[in-house]
Amino acid sequence: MEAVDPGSFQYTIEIARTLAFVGAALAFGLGGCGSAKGIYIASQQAAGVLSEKPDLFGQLLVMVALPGTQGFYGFIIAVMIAMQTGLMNGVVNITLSTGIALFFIGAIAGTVQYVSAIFQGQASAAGIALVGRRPDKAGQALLFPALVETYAVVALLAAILFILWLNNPGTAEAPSNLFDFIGGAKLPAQP
Amino acid sequence: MAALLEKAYSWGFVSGRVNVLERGLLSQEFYQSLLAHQRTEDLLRHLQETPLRDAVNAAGTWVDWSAIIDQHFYEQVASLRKDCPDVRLPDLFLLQGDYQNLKRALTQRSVYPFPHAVLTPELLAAVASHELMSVPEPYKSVAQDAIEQLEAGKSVAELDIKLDAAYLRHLLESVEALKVPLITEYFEAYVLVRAAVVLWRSFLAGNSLSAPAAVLLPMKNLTQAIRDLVAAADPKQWAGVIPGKLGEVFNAHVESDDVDAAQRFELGANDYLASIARRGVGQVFGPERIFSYICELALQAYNLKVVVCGRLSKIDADMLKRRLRKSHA
Repeated sequence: MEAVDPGSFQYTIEIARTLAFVGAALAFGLGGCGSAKGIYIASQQAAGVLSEKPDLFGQLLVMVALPGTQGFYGFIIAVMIAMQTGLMNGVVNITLSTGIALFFIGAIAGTVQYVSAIFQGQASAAGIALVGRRPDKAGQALLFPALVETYAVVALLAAILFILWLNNPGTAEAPSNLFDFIGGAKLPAQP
Repeated sequence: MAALLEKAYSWGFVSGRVNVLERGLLSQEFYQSLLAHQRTEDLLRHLQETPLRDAVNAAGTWVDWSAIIDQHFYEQVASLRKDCPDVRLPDLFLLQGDYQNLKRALTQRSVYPFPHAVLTPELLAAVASHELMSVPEPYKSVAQDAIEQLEAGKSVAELDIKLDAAYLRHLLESVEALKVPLITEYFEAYVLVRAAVVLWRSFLAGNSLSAPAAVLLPMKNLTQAIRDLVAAADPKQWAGVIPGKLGEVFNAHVESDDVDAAQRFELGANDYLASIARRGVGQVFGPERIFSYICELALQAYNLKVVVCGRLSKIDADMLKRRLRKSHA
């Protein structure tokens, strides 16, 4: 495979970097928005219950806080993406295919965080309603929204693994990504 | 869909309150145990386990109890009203008081004892002095119309029917604005039952159905259904006009010719309405949740009045048991 000219290469790097950063932004943005909305849903219900029974605060706090984890997961994914682009070393140097891959990892993982946080907020609200009616069921009520968390964690783990696997450069015979395989941009040899 | 969900979220706080308040509702077994008491003292002692405990020492006669139970219901609904994102929902249960007070204002009675939603004593005083500028719609139009009728020499009884019809129309307007299918289904059935009972009683009294129909119509979406009832004339022919489950309830009562059949249909229809309202309990939050609770609260007020006032008036427990409505608490 022959090397491309430096101007075109720089342009490709810019696109790749932009895509990776958009992916990172989507990861923490969607995760954060989802968590905020999930907590809003749960806290509305909790505030109503507490206005009648303030002594339930301890039991309700965990359920209100549960949808907040997705925001952190999104943040972790965003940091991992930033590390993969080389931003931590001060040099952003990735291929177009890696940029596209990071974009999709960030966007899809962020979407899962967003949706799961809202659903978890709704599940928490249902749990809070149960505690309002039957305070002795607080332990069981906590389990159901916690189950929604599973899929936010699965999305986080998948995103981390995929980002780590992108480190594998591959070989000319077994290229690590699609763009290399079809003859995309390659880094020029370092002087 | 997204807009509906957003709307439901804003009901979260009041739904949370309702989840706790619901625990205080009285069960069917509780009414049965109240009915079992032979002595007034035992009955009053048992009432100390209810939300009416504060009033137990203050009240003695059935008149007091009826007012106290109504007041308790009003306070609960008014308290929820403050937290509701759309006050039209709790107002559905308070409108009746507004119209009863309006009737009193129009007939120049200066005391307004019924719990109000919108028409404050100041507004009612304005109605009594025929100054309608500050009165909100649709009360203003209703009052204007009623004043003209009274000036034209119509009787207070005619005014009663006119205001009852205006109240039913107001209910349908409110549910149309709320846009909650469960509440719409409930109140359309409620209004149809009330209209059918008015027409049925008129029929049993040997009067023409066209006179009450003229007052009831138009009635929003139910206009055609009421016209069909009037066209069928004999209630025995109404089976095909009243739709669905409500029609089945009607059929179960229409065959008997006694004068209480309409009342029994009303009681049966109330149980059917309670079953519609009950469907909202499954909601975690949303207007349906609040609606179901207030319906159950209204049912509790009715049952308490039947039991407490009935027992204090020495009415037979078995007769009162038959008048109890089914509670899901």
